[in-house]
Amino acid sequence: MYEDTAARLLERAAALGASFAEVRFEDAVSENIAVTNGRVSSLSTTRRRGAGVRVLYNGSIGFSATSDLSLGGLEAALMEAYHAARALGGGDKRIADAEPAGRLRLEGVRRHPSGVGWEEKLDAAMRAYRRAVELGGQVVTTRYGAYYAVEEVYSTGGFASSFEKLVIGLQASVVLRENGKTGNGYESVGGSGGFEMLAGGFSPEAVAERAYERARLHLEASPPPAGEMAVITRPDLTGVFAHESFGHLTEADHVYTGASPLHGRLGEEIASEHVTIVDAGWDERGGIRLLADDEGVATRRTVLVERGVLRSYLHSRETAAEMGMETTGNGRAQDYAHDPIVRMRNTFFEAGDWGEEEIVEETRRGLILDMPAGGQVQLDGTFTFNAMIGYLVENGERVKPVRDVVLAGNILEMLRYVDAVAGNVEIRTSPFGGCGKGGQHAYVGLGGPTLRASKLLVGGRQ
Amino acid sequence: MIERSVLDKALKRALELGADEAEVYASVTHKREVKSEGRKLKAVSLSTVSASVRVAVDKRVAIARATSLDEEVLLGAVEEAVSAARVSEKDEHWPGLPGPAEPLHGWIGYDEGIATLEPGYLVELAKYMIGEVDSLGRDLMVASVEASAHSGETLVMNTRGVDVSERGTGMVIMLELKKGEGTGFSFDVSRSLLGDIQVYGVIDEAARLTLDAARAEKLGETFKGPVLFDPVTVAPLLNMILSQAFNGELVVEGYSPLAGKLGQHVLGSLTLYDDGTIPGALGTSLYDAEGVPRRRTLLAEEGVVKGFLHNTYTAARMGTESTGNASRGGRVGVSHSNLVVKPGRDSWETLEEAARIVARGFLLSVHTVNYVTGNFSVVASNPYLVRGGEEKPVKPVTLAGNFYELSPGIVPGRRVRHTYMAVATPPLLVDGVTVSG
Repeated sequence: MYEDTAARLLERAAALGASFAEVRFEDAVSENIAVTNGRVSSLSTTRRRGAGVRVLYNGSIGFSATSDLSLGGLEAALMEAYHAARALGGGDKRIADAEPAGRLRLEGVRRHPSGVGWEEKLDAAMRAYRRAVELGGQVVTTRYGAYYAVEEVYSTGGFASSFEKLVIGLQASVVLRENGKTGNGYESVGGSGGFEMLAGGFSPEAVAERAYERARLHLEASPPPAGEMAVITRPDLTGVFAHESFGHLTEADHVYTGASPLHGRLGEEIASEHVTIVDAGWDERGGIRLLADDEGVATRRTVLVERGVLRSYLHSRETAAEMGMETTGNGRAQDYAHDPIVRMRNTFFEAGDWGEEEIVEETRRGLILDMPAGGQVQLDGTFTFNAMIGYLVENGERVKPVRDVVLAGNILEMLRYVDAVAGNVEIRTSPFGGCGKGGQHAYVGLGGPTLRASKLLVGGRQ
Repeated sequence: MIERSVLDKALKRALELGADEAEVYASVTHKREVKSEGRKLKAVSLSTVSASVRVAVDKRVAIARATSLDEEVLLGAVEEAVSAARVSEKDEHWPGLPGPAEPLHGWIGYDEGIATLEPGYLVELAKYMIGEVDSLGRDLMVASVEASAHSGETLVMNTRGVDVSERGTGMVIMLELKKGEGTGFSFDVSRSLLGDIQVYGVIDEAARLTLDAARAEKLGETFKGPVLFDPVTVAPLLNMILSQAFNGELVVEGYSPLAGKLGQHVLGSLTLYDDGTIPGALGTSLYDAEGVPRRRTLLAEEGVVKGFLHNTYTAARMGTESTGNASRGGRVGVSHSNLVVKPGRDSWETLEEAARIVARGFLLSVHTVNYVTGNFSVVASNPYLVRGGEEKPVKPVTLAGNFYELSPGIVPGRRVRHTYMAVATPPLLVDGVTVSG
């Protein structure tokens, strides 16, 4: 749609002496409905339309963005990016060659949210609300959310890609208060499909039921013991484990600078043989479906760890050039107004051959945990991730519910402790959460099976 | 400058389409940023525009936003908002939009010097910081550096006569270092006056934390004891727990543990207020996101709950007045302006003597803290074990507890520091925290 404008802009960039230029157009809509205690506490839609311009001049990269899509507006953004690059002085940055993803559409979307009325979307949130209250939820918020976009990327050398993005979902959060105790639970579901996705296990009622069950368990639970112990993570939580404990430090912007503890370790055994971790643009088992990254490159399935051995890093065109490798299609930007940086897509542990119950039965003392609350990692390899509910396991039995706990470890040792991996892989996403890095938000998918680490530091209270 | 006439047209259009009331919030921001991967710098120069239209049709409210102030786009957003509102549910509590009011102070956090800063200056500043780290000669690796300057204008207009605008500026520098297995991070922020940014303070702090972390040993035990939090370290925890607990919307809806606790003693000896009028502070402005004047609101006095943060809607729900704390994202919510913890009398040294652990740097996973219960379980990035009057660096440790259960044992120190979440706090000594590492 913007082919001609882009061609003129890229010509102008070449005339300025830029060795590479790129313009990325985004036309996106975010929809959000929230129902709190029966009233519509939010009903909003955001239309975002603009372009980001990236320029490589004299070995330095400048980026700018504009919501003025006239040629004049785009040229002004180009000049801003050009001046920013020039201000850096000479550098040695390069952009790796890459194949454009071409023109891609999301297949199999029957009822795209752009064609569904507000009434039906509001009804989905209301149905979830009514079910949660019917079960006994005292304070309840339910949400419907969707994000959809069409993106076009043009860059030097005739590179052109255009593709769709979509994520739709539901969320419920429930608070229970009884006898001076408080429990809260939530559930989020989502995926890159149409409105028809919000059925079966993703129906408003099912989402409300799981949020209520989790709140009930949270109410009955108490803080776990503190210190190092065996931890079994259920699929939802395993995904956060993969993302925080490992994924971030394979992002090559931390690797080429030498800051990541995984720098220079390709081919090394860094985890137990039970560990295989993948980052993929999409997977049949769920998550978000990303056809291309925000540099217009098709997303590859990237095996990060294969049976314990570090196999790959995650790359954008910038980091691929730094390390003399190929981009893996991980150059992602929050929106048109942000520059692409290396981000994960769907990150998950692959299946093993244990059963979940078998793992519990074979655990003498430890915790089995679920309902992730996020996590973080820092460059020394210390990672954290949090669980809101679970059980203390003693002699193969779940003996007591526990709650609100941070799990911590160091990347270079913790993956060695993974000693049992089940086959129940689930991959999840939603339009409500995501990952933050460098001031940018990204929708991601997380997943894996139930697995056990024989030793993690547990931030308990006893 | 934002063009008022277009916004005025949007309001008139909303009324023509059948809205009872309408409001437009517009903002324009300019940001210049130099950031790095390792020592390699990258320059970003951004201008963003956003418009948010809120309408009420027979007490049914909806919002439509766009990234342009072009007439066609804005009128499109108005139509979208009105048609969405028509299908929403009626909210009998809807009090209407606020009317006009004069600001309660006169400080404008706008520095022309920051607004006109050339990218070249930020490049030189970032390079200078890298050079200074090198000149320390301690084998410190620069993981990332950042220097940015931003300026912006916001405008709120509504059909009840609110018509206010203001400008603001800010500057940020950040430095992350690494040595061996140790990392350290430091930053500074300022609304104005380039000279206010503490370049050497940031370099020294990041270097000290990194060098200490590089020689840190494992704690190797679990105990319950007193932890002294640096102001910068504890600010995000206070933001997660107290800013939410005093949020009028979360109080009205029953999420906050302080709902129904007005007048009750629940926070030890802490005195806490919100103040959007402090000259120079990060959260200071003339008006909130609904155009209601900023003010000072007492939240807790000697541990007794005295008030909550409100926008126009939540205030009406609780039969009080807006405290000028409306915030704006996809929806109109509530947030603190500057959240201030009143300092105590003890010096840092006195508190340090009483502490077993000193938490510096930041708290990993602090965004996961459960404000509904007050439970926290986080990891301190740069902790120190206090032994015989000496601070000995240890590897990251977990810190866990319930803020309300621990509050009787919280002792605020002297010297308030304003930090980047617009939380101003002294160091806090918190007894009874479970520490493990």
